[in-house]
Amino acid sequence: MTERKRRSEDGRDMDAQPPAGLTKKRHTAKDNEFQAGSAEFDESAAMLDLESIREFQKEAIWRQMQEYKRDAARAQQQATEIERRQARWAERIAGVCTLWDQTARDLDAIAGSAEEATADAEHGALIDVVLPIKSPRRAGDGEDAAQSSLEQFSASVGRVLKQLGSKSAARTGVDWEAAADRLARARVPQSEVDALRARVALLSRQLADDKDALEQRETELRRALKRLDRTVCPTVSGGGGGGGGSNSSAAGEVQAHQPEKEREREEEDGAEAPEKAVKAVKAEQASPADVAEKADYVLLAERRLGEIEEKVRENAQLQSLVDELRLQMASVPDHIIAESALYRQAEASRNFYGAQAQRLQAEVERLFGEVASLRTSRGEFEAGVVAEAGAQRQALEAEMQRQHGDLVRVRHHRDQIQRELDERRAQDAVEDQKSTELKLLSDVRRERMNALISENKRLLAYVAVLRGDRAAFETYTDDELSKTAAVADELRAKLEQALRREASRADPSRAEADLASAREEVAALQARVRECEAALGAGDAAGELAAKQRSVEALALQRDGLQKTSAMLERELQAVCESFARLEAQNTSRVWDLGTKEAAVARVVAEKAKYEEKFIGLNKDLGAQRQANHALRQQSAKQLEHISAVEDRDRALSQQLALVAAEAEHAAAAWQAAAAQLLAAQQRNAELELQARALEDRVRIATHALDERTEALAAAEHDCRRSRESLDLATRRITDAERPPADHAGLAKLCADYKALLKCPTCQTNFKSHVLLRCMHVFCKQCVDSRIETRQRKCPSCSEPFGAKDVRQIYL
Amino acid sequence: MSTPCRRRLMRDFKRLQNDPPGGISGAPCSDNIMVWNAVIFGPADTPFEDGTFKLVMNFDENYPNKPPTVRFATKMFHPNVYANGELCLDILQNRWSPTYDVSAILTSIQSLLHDPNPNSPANSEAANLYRDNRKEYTRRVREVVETSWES
Repeated sequence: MTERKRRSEDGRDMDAQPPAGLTKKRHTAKDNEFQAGSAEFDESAAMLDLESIREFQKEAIWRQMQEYKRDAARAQQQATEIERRQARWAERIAGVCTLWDQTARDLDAIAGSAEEATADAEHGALIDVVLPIKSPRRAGDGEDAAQSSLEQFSASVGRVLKQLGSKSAARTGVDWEAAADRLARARVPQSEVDALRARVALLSRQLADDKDALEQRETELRRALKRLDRTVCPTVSGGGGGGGGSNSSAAGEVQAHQPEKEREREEEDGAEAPEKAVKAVKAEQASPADVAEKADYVLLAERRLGEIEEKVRENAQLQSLVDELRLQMASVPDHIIAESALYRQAEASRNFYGAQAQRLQAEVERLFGEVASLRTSRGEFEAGVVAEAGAQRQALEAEMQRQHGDLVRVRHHRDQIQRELDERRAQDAVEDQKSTELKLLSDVRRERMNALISENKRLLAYVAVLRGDRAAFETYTDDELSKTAAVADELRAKLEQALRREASRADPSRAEADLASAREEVAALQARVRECEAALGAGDAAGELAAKQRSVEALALQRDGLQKTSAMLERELQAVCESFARLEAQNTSRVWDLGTKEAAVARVVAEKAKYEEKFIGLNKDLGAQRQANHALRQQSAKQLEHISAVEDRDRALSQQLALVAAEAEHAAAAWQAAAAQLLAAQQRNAELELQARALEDRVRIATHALDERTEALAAAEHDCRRSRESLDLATRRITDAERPPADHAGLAKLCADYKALLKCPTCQTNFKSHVLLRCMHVFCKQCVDSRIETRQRKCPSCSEPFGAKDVRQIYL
Repeated sequence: MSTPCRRRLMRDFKRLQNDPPGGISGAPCSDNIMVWNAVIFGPADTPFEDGTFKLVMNFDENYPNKPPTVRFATKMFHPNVYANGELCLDILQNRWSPTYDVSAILTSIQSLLHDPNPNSPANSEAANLYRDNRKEYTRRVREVVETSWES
């Protein structure tokens, strides 16, 4: 009984592993067994009647019933245990539900924080997913509720997973800009993600526990199924035999197991174990006789089986979903983490490149602005310079023209003045001529006037003479002596005589004398007159006198005229002098005028020189302006060069920017490629590790074998050497035994050897004077002496140093 | 004219005649015992096999307290032989001992042909080839061996 039970248990254990394939095999085995059994029955049919067979069968069935009863009791135990487990499971599910609520809330929070700004469709979907999970959670405490909630939960988890998958796909997509943004936003609740992950891990562990429980239950179910099969098959054969004796007891069993069946129906998912017991009972019930009932039961059992299989399938589905969820939940955060680490790097580099690009852009813009400002300033400067230069040139030209006009005017003025001066000079020359003429004329007139004055004076003197002494005058009327000075002197002298005579008239004597003399003189004069009259030809003295009288009168008239003329002449002279003075004044004024004009001319000349200097200075200014203009042009050229350099730099910067962007793209591509490569390398590494492990094992085996062989070889070699040595020894002994007693050649050689020993090893000739050294080597004295002489104080044989004292003589 | 040196050289010659080592022959010049001509046959199982290498040994009056100067007269390709044929051998320099005689010197040179010391190279090309490219070394040595037959 116990053995059989053990066997059946063993069979169950064996059959529990491969479910479908071996059941058939077992069926066939059992069929064979039954066939064999039936054959046995056929053989013994002749001897045994049906009664005994039925008895035997009944007994067997009873035994089986006993067993089934025990099984039922055990199944009941199991059912209670499963009930307990169910309760525990429900508790766990409730815990999971609360956890899920929490995670859903967290997800809500994360979703709210992550998607608040965007508020896109994902958020709504997620909330939609999460909300229905929450609502039925609180509703059910019971199993159905738990089951339905689990289903809903799995469905919602599937949806979440899909969304997560789509999200992750969107994240891993090309749009890593948006992914970076999302990551940046999602990185904020990193701790929350961690917590979530921990919770998910807990959940998954619990789910695994549940799964274990389910599996256990499944195996139990399978065992029950197997038992059912086992119970069904013998009963079927028994039924074929025609036995139905244990129907009532089976019915009792059915009655006993009915409540269990009810309970099992209640428990649905969890309580498969009682069910199988029921089935076993059913099958047993069917076994005695009632085929229809059996068929019904079989149908029922099949339906139950189908239900159970369905449940199992659902369970497996749920399990796969849970696994998927766990996988996704495990992979997504890992992915996010990997992404975050790489993203941090990539983002840092991207930020760096972006900042650099912005900086470069800003610099470029700044440079553009600088260039534009430089251009405008250059244009303005050039325009200003040109305008200034033009204005300056115009001003200079205008000034030059003005000065030219001034110069021309001054020249004209100068020429005019020169002409006037020349004219004046000519006029002066004419006037000089005139004045010289006038001078000459005045000189002539003066001379004439002098002559007239002298004549007048003579005439006056003569008149005086005449007045003083009429008589004398009478007497001297004829004398034409007045013309000479001598005559005047004579006249003067006569006048003085006459004056003296008048003075002497007071003295009558003298007067008489004088009279007398005068008479005489008169007489003399008369005489002379006469003589003169006589000389003159007897002229009428009276007429002559009258004539003389007339001539005197004429002379007086003439004298008056002369006086008049002299006055007139004097007047004229005065007039002439005045005119002359006037002329001279005029002359001096003209000379003055001339001087002033010359000064004006000199001033004009100086002004001209000044203007010329100014002109030269202006010319210099013009040159300086031209130089300034040239310098400005050079400056503008330099500025143009600078601008071109700036443009080059700008171009280089843009190229650099493009290069940097390309590099960034390249880096991103390289990063992706490297990630892929890394994965491949990891796979390969794992493969290689496996290979290496296999190889190591092989190598270990091989080394082990090699060591063994080496040891064997060494042992063999040792043996071989031993045997060879023994062989050598033996051969030597043989040769020794075979050799004839010592020949002469060997003796001679021995002798030579000993002789050689007695010779000095250095000179190999003499060994007479033997000397011993510290190292106990023996040489001849000569050799040792030569060694000491040549200061090679080392033993020729062993090179040990020695001193002169180490040498000793020995006597053989 | 009988100095210890000459006596010793005569003794060496006699010994060489009486008990010649394998692959070595040597004799003093007919007019000068201080100059010896020797021939070393290349040792078997070496690249120098079958080569006949002539040597000239110059002894001075300090022999055997001073080593002789030994020079290859034929062209040689060996890591320890200079281009002019002089040898770089320790027992001919600082490790000389008066106990060595001509046959010992020639035997040492013969074994040097067999076992070159590439760590103190006199012919760096030969040393490099000996170290890195033994095949080429062998080829060059065979060339030298062939030239040794001609002269």
